[in-house]
Order: sequence, then C-alpha cells, then structure tokens
Amino acid sequence: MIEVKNLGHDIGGKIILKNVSLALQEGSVMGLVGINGAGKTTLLRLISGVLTPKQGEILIDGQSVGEEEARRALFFLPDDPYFTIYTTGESLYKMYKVFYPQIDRAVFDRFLKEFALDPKKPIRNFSKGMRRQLYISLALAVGPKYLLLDEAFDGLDPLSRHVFKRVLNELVEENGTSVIISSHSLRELEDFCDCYVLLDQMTVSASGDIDETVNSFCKFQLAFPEEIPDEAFAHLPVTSLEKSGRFVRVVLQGNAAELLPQLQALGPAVLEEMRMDFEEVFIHEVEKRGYLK
Amino acid sequence: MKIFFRYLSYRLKISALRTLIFTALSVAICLIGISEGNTAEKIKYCQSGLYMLATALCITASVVPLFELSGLKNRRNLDTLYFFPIKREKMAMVHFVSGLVQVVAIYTVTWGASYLWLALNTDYFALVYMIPYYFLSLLLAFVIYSIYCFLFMQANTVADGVLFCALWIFLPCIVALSASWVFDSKIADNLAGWGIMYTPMNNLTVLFQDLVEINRPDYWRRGVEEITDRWYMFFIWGAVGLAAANGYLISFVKKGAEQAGEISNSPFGYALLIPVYGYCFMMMPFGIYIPISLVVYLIIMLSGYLIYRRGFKFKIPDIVVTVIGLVLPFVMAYIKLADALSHF
Repeated sequence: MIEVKNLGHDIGGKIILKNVSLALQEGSVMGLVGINGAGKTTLLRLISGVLTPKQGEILIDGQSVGEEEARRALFFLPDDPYFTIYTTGESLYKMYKVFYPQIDRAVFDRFLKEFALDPKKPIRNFSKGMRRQLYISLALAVGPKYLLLDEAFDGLDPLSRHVFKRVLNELVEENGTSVIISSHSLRELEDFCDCYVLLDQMTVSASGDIDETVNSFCKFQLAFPEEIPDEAFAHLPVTSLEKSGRFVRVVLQGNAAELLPQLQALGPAVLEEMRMDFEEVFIHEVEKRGYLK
Repeated sequence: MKIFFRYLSYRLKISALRTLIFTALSVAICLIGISEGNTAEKIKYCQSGLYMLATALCITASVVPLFELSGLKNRRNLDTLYFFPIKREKMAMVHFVSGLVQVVAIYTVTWGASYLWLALNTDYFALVYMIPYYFLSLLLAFVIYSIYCFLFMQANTVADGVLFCALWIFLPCIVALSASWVFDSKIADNLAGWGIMYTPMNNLTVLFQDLVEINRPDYWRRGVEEITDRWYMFFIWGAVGLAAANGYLISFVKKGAEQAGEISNSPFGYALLIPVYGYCFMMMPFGIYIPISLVVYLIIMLSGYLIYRRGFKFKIPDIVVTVIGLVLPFVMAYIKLADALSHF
C-alpha cells in the first residue's frame, strides 16, 4: 500500500502542495485529476522519490520512499522521460536492468513488437507517442508492484491507447500492480480507474470511488409546455442548470430514482434521464470552484 | 552494495568510448611532445615530457567531472535517475568514483606509454623517479577532480557549472593578489603564487622533472628549494581536495531535483564570484587611479548579474553589493594612506 501522510512541498518558497493525504490500496487503479498546475506532477514526483518532501511522509508498504527497498517496488513514468541523442530502446533496457534485475526481456520484446518499435533505433527520432510506448514497454517488462504514470495518454494515438489500456488491465489483473495515473483524458481514466483523487488549492479536495461519485449525480433533459423560471428548481439539489427557452438540462446531486418524482411534479412534457460521465463530474467540480465561467 | 557496483559498472561501460577517445588524445599529445624533444639532433634539449603528462592529467581531471555530472543538470534525466532504487549517497559516490576511475585509466595509459617510449628510445633519464611522480601526481589530480566535482555540483545548469569552474580557477590567486597590494602581506604573496589549483601539480612536476632529468647534459635545478620549502602548501591543497570531495557528496545528496535548470543560487556560485571578482578588480593597484577601472567594475557586475539572474531581473542584494564595491576602493585607499602616514 502507498500511504501519503500530511504531505507538503514548496518549490523556491512557492507552496505547491499542503496537507495531502491519500492511500493507494493494493491492486487498485487511482486516477489523479486536477486542472493544470494543481500539483499532480509534483505529487507523483514526490511519491516516486524524485523529490524529497518538505513536510509529511510517504510510505511504500510501510517503508519510507527514501529507502532503496521501498523504491524497488515502484516504477515512475514521467511525462517527459529521459533520453539522450544516443539513447535507443536497447540502451534503455540495459539501464533499467541495472536497477531492476528482474526485468523480463521477453515481455519487453513482446510489447516492442506490439507497438512496432525498433529497439536499435535512436529514440530521438521517435514521436512523443512512440517514446511513451517504449517506456510503457519497459514498465510492463519490469512488472512493478506500483506503477506511477504521469500524463499517461499524452501523445498516444487511439490504437496505442487501446493497446495501452489492455496491457495495463493485464498488469493489474495478472500481477496485482497498483497504479496511480494522472491524465487530462478523464474518459480514459473512467475506463479503468476504480478511484480518483482531485487536487485543488494545493490539496486533495475530493476523492473516492469513481462509479460511486458518478452515480451520486444525475442528469435530466426536460421540455416544458412553456418557459418556467429558475426558481422552480430551487428546492432541488441543482449542480448545474442550462435553459434554452422551454428546454432545460439539469444536473442534480443525488439518486436519480429519488429525484425523478420531484422533477415530474414540475409538469414537464418530456423528461429524459441522461448518462453522466466522470468528465462531466469533473467539469461540475471545477465549475463549482469557480475555475470555469 | 550490489546496486552500487552494478551502477558503477554500467557508468563505466557507457563512458568507455569517451574514455578511449580521451586516452588516445592524451597519449598522442604526450608522445608527440616527448618525441619532439628527444630527437638525435636535439639531444641537448631533451625533455622527459613530465610537463606534457601533467598537462594531460590536469585537463582530464578538469574535464571528466563535467561530462560525468552534466546529466544531473537536466530535469528530465533526474525524473528518471532519482526514482531508481538507489540511495542518493550511493549514486553520488558512483558518479564520483566512475569519473575518478576514468581519470586514473586515461592517465595510467598515458603515463605507461610515455614511460615505455622514454625507456625504449632514451638512456639519459632517471626513469625510476617517474614511479613516485605517477602516484603523487594522481593524488594532486584527485584534488583537482574533487574541486571540479564540487564546483560543478553547485550549479543548476551545465553552462553555470562550466562558468563556476572557470572562474574559480583564478579566484584564490586574484584575492591573494589584491590582498597583497592592500596589506603588503607575505602570506598573501605566498597564496597568490600557490592560489591556482594547478600550481601544486606544476611545482611537483618541476621538482620531479629535475630528478628525472638529473643526467641531462644541460641539467639545471629549477627552484627545487623554493618548492620543497613550501611543502606545506601540498597539504593545504590536499585538505582543500578532501573538503571538496566531502562538499560534493553533501551537495549531491541535498540538491533537489526541482533545482535542475533553475537559477544557480549556491553561495559558492555567482553570489560569491561576482562581488569577489568585481571587488578584486577595484582594489588592484590601478583601481583608484584610473577611472576606467570603475567602468570595468560596473561591466563585471552588470554582466555578472545579467548572467546570474538570466536577464534584467536584479534584486536588492545585487544592487547593495554593487554599491559596496563602489565605496570599497576609497576605504582601501584611506587604509593605505593612513598606513603610509603612520610611517612618517
């Protein structure tokens, strides 16, 4: 289990994170979300041991992340990983083998083949997506207990995203790997994350099970015989209300089955429940915090 | 310790080509220098080539740290390197030892080639003295190497690191020269002579060249007494080397990955170098007599802080330090005047 306790960090006096606490259970996949500059990358760099926290502690299976033994269980794939003009897939494999002797060459080769990458070619000629595929192949070959992925889907084409999600699911199901993944692609996160952490105002502002969170909201589309005032919805737990003449789209916080009779009582000609997804929940959350007008 | 040796072996492997190129260049330079000085026609001016060896060693000990540590100035590299399961202390030691092994390897091959050439082609050198010279010069190379490792670690970018190393070469010497003018001190005079980190190597080489070339037809002793009289300076530099090695390790461990690429704020960097260079130039004998020195001073300070802050982003301490420098020559002139008057 990864435990982050009261973590605080600043860079050059500028506070980036304060009082961040979270726990990643074994075998779970956590989505790390937040607007740009919320501190997602810093949090991942702290958890991976790249940065040393100014406050609080990070424990990997009960050991401080500063310990070699603890970090042996981790694999961090940064947004913009290491390479020099001479780096090839082969040379990266050799470097990772120094620190992860258990790295599986057959798995590495299998994924290189799957992504159609040549391990002998210098990666400076690769696109960002191809580089990411190469590092993902390394991560999968290492088979870590904890995998930290920063902007995991950045630069991947739809086919690579598909392959990536499939192999990540394999890794979680077969190896029991726990994953923390930061991404702006919330629809992708919803596909395979079971929990999420929302960073805002330098701290964890919301967290929990993705399905439960999505299900705690419901969205309805209504059409009325004639235009009705906003006050008609005042007694309802409205998160967002969009009106266009006689048509209303409303997002409510709560159980759809319980709220449906209250909406029917308003006398709509048409009442239709719509599917809510994680991205919409996120947008409502950031709207609520005043980031989107 | 397994991870230490695995990483060390990896570092040595990836730097093998570089080491090979440096070795080839070093051997070529030394052999050309030695063979040039030892042709049959020039037998009267024969040279053992210790100077060439010392030069090659000094260059190697100065350049290898820059290559060995430059990868640590890039955030992208650190994001990968620092999450690897190896303690920072071990990583610091690996980079230090790896560079040192390269220096020793390059020098050993160069020294061996020079020794062999001299042994096979000449018969008037006391080559036995080359053996203690080999070990003693390596100790001094350790001092130079450690100082460069320490200085380079103070910077957050490769360019700053190279500048720190370059500026620190003459700093103690310039400070001592300024002090010797202001205070007429023999200690300052002595420091000025020994204040460049290559001076001990130079003086050791002079000493051993005299010993190796003892049978030269035109043999003459070049200030052996002067060098041996100041033997303690070797120990002072040795202590500086040890302190630098220790400082390097501490800096490596303490330096956060977030500092890579940022402004180099080390107290051993621009914050010290800019005012010291500026003040020293102001206090040179011409400082108070020639107005141009004021312009030179302002150019040093302005360009220094421009490089330090990466643009016209001067801070209050920069301005305060610059203003102090403007007052300093007058204070020094007053001290000199008071000193002169007291002799009447």
